[in-house]
Amino acid sequence: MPRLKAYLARSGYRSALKDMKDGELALAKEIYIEALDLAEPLAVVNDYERRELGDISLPGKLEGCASYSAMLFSLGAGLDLAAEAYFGRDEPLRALLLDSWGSEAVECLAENVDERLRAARGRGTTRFAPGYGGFSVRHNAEWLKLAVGEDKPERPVSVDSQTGIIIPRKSIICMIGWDTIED
Amino acid sequence: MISREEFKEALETRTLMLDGGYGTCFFDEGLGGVPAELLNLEHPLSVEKLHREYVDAGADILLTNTFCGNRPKLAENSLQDKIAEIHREAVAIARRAASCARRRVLVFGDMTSTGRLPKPAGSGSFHDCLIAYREQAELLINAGCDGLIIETITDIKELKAALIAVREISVEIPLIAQMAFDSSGTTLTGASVEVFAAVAGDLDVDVLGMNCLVGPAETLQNLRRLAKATTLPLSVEPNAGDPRFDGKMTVYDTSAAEFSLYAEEFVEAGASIIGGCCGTRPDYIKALSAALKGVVPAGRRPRDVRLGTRVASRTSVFDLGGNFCVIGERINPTGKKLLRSSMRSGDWAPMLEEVASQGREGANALDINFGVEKFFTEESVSDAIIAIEGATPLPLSLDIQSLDLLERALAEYPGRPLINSSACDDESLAAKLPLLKKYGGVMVLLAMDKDIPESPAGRFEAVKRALARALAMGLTRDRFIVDALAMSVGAGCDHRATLGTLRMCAEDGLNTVLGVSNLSHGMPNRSGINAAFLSQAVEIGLSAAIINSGDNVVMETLYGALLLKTGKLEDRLDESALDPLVEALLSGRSKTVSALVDEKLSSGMPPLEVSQNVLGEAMEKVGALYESKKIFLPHILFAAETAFPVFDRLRGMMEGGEASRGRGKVLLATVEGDIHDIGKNIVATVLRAGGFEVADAGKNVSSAEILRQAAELAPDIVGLSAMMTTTVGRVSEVVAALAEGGVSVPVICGGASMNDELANLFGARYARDSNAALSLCRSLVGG
Repeated sequence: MPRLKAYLARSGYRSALKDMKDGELALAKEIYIEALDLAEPLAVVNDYERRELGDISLPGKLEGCASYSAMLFSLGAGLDLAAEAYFGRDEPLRALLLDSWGSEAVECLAENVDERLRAARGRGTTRFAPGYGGFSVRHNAEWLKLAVGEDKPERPVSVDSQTGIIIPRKSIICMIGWDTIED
Repeated sequence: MISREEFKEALETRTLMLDGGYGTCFFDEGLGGVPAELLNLEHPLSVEKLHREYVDAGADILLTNTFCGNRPKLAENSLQDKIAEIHREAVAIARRAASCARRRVLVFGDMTSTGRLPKPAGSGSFHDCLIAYREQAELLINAGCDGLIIETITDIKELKAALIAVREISVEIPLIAQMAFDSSGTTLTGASVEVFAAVAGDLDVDVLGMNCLVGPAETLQNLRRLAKATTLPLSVEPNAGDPRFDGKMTVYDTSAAEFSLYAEEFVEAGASIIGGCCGTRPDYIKALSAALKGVVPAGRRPRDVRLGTRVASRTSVFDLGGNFCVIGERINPTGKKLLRSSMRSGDWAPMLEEVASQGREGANALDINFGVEKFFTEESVSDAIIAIEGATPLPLSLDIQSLDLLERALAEYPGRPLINSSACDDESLAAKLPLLKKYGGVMVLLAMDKDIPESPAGRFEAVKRALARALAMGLTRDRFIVDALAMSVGAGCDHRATLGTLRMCAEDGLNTVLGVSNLSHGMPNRSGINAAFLSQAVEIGLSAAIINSGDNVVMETLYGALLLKTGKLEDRLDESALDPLVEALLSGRSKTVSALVDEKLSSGMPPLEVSQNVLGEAMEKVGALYESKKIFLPHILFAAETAFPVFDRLRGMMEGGEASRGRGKVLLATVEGDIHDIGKNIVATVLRAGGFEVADAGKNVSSAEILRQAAELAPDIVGLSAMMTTTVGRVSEVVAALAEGGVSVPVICGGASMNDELANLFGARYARDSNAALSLCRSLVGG
């Protein structure tokens, strides 16, 4: 679960919690609880030796590792639909809060798994997602295949091949490089 | 055992997690029918399993399963002979669970109310509480606890007894003190969050906090107030929201996720320890732990804490730094024959008249002086203090010279009193400072050694030496106020030395007080002299004066001087707002109550009408003051006790039929399986004071027995109390039994686990508190 303050900061609230208006904080908490119900957290990790990746593109900082974890994190479509519904009902603050919660929560989910992997395997590279550090967002598509497995046609998320955008929106495709794998 | 220093360091570096509720979890395991403390002996694995679940959830502190383990509480289930075994096993079980963690998990011995509140809130005594808590603290410490927590306390005097008892057993053990506040930040017997901070903060505790009664939102508001009133670390254990009955037992509607959303706000408000109370389970603690991952303690800013020199009664705090304090001087029998003889014979009525009148005149605190003390015993001093504190919300200044009597008064007084006084010589300080440290309070330092220095500098030096000695004992400057010594100008003393001393103290940031009337001793026109001197002293920075609040010359001059100095008008009491009968009831002036009632009888009003429409109405007004939190439980009980003999006298004057019924008859009982009867007894008192005849069936009463008594007594109303989450359902059983038994009578119910919705579901009516019960009974009998 994301920290309350982090979720609020992502929504644009920068003040101390005690300085927020009661109504604002109550609404933010209401949305937090609603979001918990809507979210369907999913985490998938698939590991590959370097040679198994063939000519798959890698971000520069991840070159030269012995092995890699390809990962998918998603909160499902419910959050997107609910946020859209709020916008449709002219309730943009609720939509914003829901969207911010989703962004913070999916990052939190990734961080959680990241920590567990490192605890089990030791130090790896920075967790890296397409769209950052000059590594095109379009690479989401190929890393999605790696994350969920080439042999699984029904994927929990889809990636637009032109834009690299992932649907549902509160999803992250990313990777970590490992020097060694200690199972 | 962790040292207090280590514990303090731990609290500064991270937020510690306490565990959550136990009763509900035991109920879930099918162990609800067994007294929780007995589980340590009969089902130790179940207790250990729950402890382990809390450890796995992230608890840094486990509380032993000894919440109701003090001797009086155990005796309610005839378990008192197992007290040593229970505590030994409880600590061993918690230790085993704690040792399974990969991190350090502390084991704190859990203690709560004895169930027998000390007078005037209940019928118990401070001394009995002290004995019970000493025993439990010793058992827990000897069994190997890391620290102790005293929680869910509703009476500040009982808390004081518990804290003193613990420190008598050990000064090394880390100690957390928590009270149960409602949504207005007040305990059942009237102590506010600020009173708690002032009183408990003096008693060598490591953490102050709050638990139970309300959910996280209300707890947060109360926590923010507490953070402004103390620099000590803070702890919170809210309930999981408001209770609701699910058909089998009471449940709490705030989910673990929702509960955990307050975690960061608690930390931001200053909490160093966070856990859960009723309705919380391991998943709540797990959610809290997750929510606080990576959150660093907020760090309290000293400037956010308003700590002046505060004196306090049970219900109110007076800040000597922020406001001028008028200390009424008239509870002093010297030269007052009637007051002297009545006080020596234990007839407190004339004294209480003076208490009430000084309050009306604008006193902010009352000096209590017994005159020639050899005529008083420790018991009579206890009685006097109980009578006074039940009759006034004003803080007391204990002007008592005998150390034994002073110690007794300090033990008996539930607030933070002025201790009037100690000279600055070594002998006096050696006698008085330990009392100040043990019992709390603010000491008046006389600016003198064995003799009184003539010069201001000499007097100020004496004060500075005394303060240095006090600070070396761990006391702080805010625990002292300096008496610059007003002495008779008629005897040739120079009042300018007094004013000079005042000036030096004020410039050093010390609060000051003067016994102003001493100045004019033996002189004519005393009021004028006192007033003129007081005016000069106020201008220099005097903080408080012991004066005759009934002296208009002095009081008007004082208000004038304060207006000129501060530019603000003092609040004056609107005497016209007080109903004389209400005021007499609240002050315990039974003779005045009788006289006012006799006036009505003399005018030809029938006794029944006087009982219901005069005395009953006055008690109703007392109830309204209680409801609006202008007075608190001890005050309403005190007023009721004052009213009872008069009600009885009126009843004796009524015709037979009238006398037997009064407003109506109410049969009260605590339902089967429930042994809590404080609330029921309070309701009985208030109903009686409201003119109802009350038949009390007692506690742990079966449905069949309630039916039997209802059939025999033919009450107008049956009132049921159910405190526990596991016994509320009995109300439904009683309603059904009455219906099946052919007894048609309205049923009202109350208790911590009851609410409006639940009562309706059971076919009964809900009364939130004793006053609501009185109103409800009146409406049911059409009165």
